[in-house]
Amino acid sequence: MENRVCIVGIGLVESAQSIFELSHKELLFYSTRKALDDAGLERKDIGGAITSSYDFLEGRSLSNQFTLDSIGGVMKPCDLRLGEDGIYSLFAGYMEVMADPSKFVVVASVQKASERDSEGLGYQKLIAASMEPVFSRPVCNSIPNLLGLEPVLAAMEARAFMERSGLKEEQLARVAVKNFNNANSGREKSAINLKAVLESELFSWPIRQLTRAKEADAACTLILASEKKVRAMAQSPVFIRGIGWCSDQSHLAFRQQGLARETKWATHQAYKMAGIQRPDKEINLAEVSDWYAHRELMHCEALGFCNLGEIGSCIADGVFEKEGPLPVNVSGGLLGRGNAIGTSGLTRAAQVALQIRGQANGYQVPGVEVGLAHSWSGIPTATAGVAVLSKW
Amino acid sequence: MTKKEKEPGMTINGEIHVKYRWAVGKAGERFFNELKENKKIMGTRCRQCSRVLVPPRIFCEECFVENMEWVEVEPKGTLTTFGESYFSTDGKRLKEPWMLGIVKLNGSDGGLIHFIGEARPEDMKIGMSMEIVFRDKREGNIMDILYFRPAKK
Amino acid sequence: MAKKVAIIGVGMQKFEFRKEETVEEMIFDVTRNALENCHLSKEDIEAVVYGSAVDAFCGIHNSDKIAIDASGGLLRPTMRNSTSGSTAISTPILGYTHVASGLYNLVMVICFEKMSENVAAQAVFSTVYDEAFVRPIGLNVPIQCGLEARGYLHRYGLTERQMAKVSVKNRGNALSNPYAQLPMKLTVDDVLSSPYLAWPVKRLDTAPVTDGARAVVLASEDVAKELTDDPVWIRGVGRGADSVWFMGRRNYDLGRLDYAYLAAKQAYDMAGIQNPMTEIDYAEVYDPFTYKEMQHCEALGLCPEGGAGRMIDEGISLKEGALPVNASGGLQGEGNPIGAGMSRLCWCYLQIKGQAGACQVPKTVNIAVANAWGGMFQYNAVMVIGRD
Repeated sequence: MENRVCIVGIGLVESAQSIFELSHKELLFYSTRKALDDAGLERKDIGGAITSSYDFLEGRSLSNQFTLDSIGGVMKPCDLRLGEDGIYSLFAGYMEVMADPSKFVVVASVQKASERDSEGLGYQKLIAASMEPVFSRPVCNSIPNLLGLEPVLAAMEARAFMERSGLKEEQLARVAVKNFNNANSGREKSAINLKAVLESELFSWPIRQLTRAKEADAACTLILASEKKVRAMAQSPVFIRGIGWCSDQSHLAFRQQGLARETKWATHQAYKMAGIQRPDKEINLAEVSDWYAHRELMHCEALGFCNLGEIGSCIADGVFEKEGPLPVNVSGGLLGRGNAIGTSGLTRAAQVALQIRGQANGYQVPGVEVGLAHSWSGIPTATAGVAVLSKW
Repeated sequence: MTKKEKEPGMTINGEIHVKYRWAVGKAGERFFNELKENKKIMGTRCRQCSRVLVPPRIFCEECFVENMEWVEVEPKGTLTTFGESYFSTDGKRLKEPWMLGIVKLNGSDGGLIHFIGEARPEDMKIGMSMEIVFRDKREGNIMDILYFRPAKK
Repeated sequence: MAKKVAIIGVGMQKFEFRKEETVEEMIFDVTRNALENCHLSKEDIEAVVYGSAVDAFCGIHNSDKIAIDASGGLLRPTMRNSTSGSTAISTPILGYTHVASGLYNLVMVICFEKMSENVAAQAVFSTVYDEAFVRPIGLNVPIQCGLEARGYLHRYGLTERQMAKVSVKNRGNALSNPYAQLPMKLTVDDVLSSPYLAWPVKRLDTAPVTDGARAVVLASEDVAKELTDDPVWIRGVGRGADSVWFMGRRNYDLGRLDYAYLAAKQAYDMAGIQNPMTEIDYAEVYDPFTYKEMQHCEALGLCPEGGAGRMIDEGISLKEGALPVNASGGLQGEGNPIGAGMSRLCWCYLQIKGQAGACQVPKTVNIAVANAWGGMFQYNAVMVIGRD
């Protein structure tokens, strides 16, 4: 095994509330500065930087040019921006370091949901805007209220999943309860119990207000380096053992609904690289996309944490709870912490890295050596990415 | 040199309307408030490298630290480049062009881009002295500046 | 240690205004062309990298996801890059990194743009400006370039006439290019009398809006050697970017592209090239406007700084010249579908392989350089390719 790639700096700025007083440039500066401080580095050490963002989500075209200064990139080779979820910048950064192990590479992403359409329609319109414009979009644009589009699309896949798995709505709701409680760890017990979830506003069965992650603002920066460069550094490195990413059919009608095939395929490469054969036994902790409660379960299946028929018993036995053998979303996940769409994949990786370092203050799980970060790019995409991180 | 445009195949029309409200940030908020209330141009000086940045930011992108202090900047400077256009908003051709210019403000390492007024393109020269003309009614955005004009002696 | 990476083939298609095909169909066409040229099937592709500058043009958020099936990306690792105009070269650089990292042996790179469906391209362009300090003023691309071009001509004493010669050269070169949208036989006076968009940029200094796609297939050394006995290596890559606050950069003068000089140096250092003027045989430089070709020739060291006027006056960059530039017609002649400016790289490859058809330059081409520019006077990506 040649030089491996490590995370040597972590900078995460998250908030349950909208971060109005900071511009997105300032927010990203803060997470980058934090990451540099964490790594004991300065701007002069940066050899490259990669950002991820979605133009339409921000209302800025060519959105990466605005954040260049914030990632320390002035007069540096920082001309790379992915129109993907934040975790992809980790993947591209990994490859940059493998290609040139002398570099420190900054990978970063920022999203401010608070800047989108205050009527709440912003993201909905964008979903409509990502539907293929000739055959699908006119239908989507003709629905009586665009607020209904995303829940209906989510409901379609949830129903298909429940059909496949035999799961009931109550079991999906338990995922939400788990994650809200996890997000409140160390503080007062969450007011959100099963009853509250099942009685929350229904958007399109079984998608309810409390089974669908709210949008949030966040910025996340990680600093990657080759194993060789890491020896003299302050923090213990977190190794990136495996990465994988994948997209499935773009046309909804051709996909198999209720099955997260893209996640399953993304794990192939990641597990192969990481040498993982029994993820249900070898992964100690995971941060998995729980954009909707049903998705966390779909992803657990696709990630190989349990078989389809076992999901019910895993829920009943608390396998994925904080104290269970494979805690999922101990941070609270997207349901618990909010979904900074476009950045949340990278924040998953940051959360796993913090657990491995033993720095997840207030929600640390003991003995995490191998963790998994997962990202899904949301309705109507079929795009997922997975990173396996480890202590050594 | 007109070329007959190919007959388009079947098309479908559509629009995307999404509203945004972007945060101007800590630096932007101070800048626009001072512009609105006091007709002042404010910059931030990096205590490490002493550069004065306009538009102001909370961090210096060279030193990459948040170690700034607010300073007032003269609303006057040097024209570094300019450009004119004869296109009106509805795509017709105007008789008199409108002009934009980039002006480096005196005492700063920065500047602003804005309209040029009270001047004709023939009178403009790179390097000439320009001054800001403020609007009487200001709202707290960059349009509180009306335009740059050649500095009066 | 970076693995060696080769270009083993390209996919081409005609650039056209208001292409009938959808984004998917366009991408399918160019992918199929690339696979045919390489004698590969889509199963051979291990990963796909997409590049497209502005979703707002085609009006599809995440436009690459629409074309997953059409490009052999189904259930494969795919990644989409978007860095404004420099997407054209930063995307194949991302593809290069995929292979150089050792993770993949065969990568398809697809760059595309469908901009003519957008009825108001200018309005879309306004979304590329900073929302607080620039957008409200109503800056548009012609003025943005007028600002830069004026600074450039002023700094080095260059002329509109020299700019016009670039247009005549490139549009004339495009007459030999079967993929070009707007080849034209022009005189300098034709260009000089075309209407101004913003001084000194005139309509005939400006590349036309267009739709189109390009593909490039990259392979690791082992695979490349199995597939061909004449691989074209990626010898050097470079990227440079400058502050978003263009009103207050270290170098006030937009006329000198500091970040482009930086990118070129990185690429040449990696390629072991010390004197590009003598060591580079051929170049395809980014010319959305004629003065940009001139600026880029200087930044890429193909002529001395400030010497681009002389370069065109003395015919050095003509097809038969000592250092031909844009024999394909460049963006001026072919059209500028922003992301698909990767065409510059494709033509460098074709020239090296002797497959440039009627565009083929008379001299031997072993090493070539291509670049792309974008952002708010901000980005430059450079790639040097050639035989060992």
